[in-house]
Amino acid sequence: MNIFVTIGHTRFDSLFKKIDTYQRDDWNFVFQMYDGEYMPKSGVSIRYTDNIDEYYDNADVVITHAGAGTVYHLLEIGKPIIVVANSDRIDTHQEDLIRYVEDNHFAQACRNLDHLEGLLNNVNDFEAVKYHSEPFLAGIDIAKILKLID
Amino acid sequence: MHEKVILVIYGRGGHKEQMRRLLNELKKKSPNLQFVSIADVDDQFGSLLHYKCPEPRDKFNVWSAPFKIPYSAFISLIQCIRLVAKYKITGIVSTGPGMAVLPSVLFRLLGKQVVYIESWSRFYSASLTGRFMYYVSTVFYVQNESMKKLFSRAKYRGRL
Repeated sequence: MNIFVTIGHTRFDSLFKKIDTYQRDDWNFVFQMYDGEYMPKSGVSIRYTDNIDEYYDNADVVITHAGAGTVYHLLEIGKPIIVVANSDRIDTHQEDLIRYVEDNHFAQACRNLDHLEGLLNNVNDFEAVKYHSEPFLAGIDIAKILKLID
Repeated sequence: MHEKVILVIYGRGGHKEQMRRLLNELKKKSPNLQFVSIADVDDQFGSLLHYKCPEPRDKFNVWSAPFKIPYSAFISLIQCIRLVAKYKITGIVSTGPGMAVLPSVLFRLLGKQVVYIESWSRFYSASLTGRFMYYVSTVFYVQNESMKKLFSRAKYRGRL
């Protein structure tokens, strides 16, 4: 199973440390680790990429931080994902997104890194509900408010 | 000098992505859109004039706040004065983060429009910036219907 791990523009060393404890020859990891200090040992690492869709295409499952832009995009393309709460950060707004994903069964959610290995084992059995985006229709109103158009 | 422009304020990660999508929407309605910008990253979108401002809140270190907030406020005050002197700015639109608050207060005092779009990652709880901007902005959008429970006057018109 090809697994791509992405954390966007954040730091999440404890995620990579946890994954490095797994003893599975059939799991091939690629890590996008931004400016993290810990270099993952159990796969290929990149800091950042402008062609992230290529990495998504090559993965059977994507482990992603709870960043909305990444998560919505992955749901839109119908990728199997595991959304992980970044416990290295102080803010809690990731919790909202995780709850949304979990309540609607769009993807598997991970609040505790000790559970991640179990969620990976469950990837093929999890039945995700299809996500539908809700397009943003306020462009014209905002253009009027800011006097860009009459 | 004195072209009609808007000021856009955004930050790294999701704030930037939401602004990218918003600017695409605005350009569809106003193809000659011109804007100046403030962000904690380099210019991403072809701004007429871009200022880099440090984000006042460090999400990895809560103890730096007493130093970073006055510093960030001072920088953005100077940046706003320069922008207002150089361009005829009709208003602000921001997708957060916290650095949007002070310029928004200044622009409201100057009688300008301020549009704030609460983060698309909010479903059940308000951001600190959102709580301020609800009172500072002239129009406040949320990107999830469930947020209208927290911000009754907010508008919901879909997700960026």
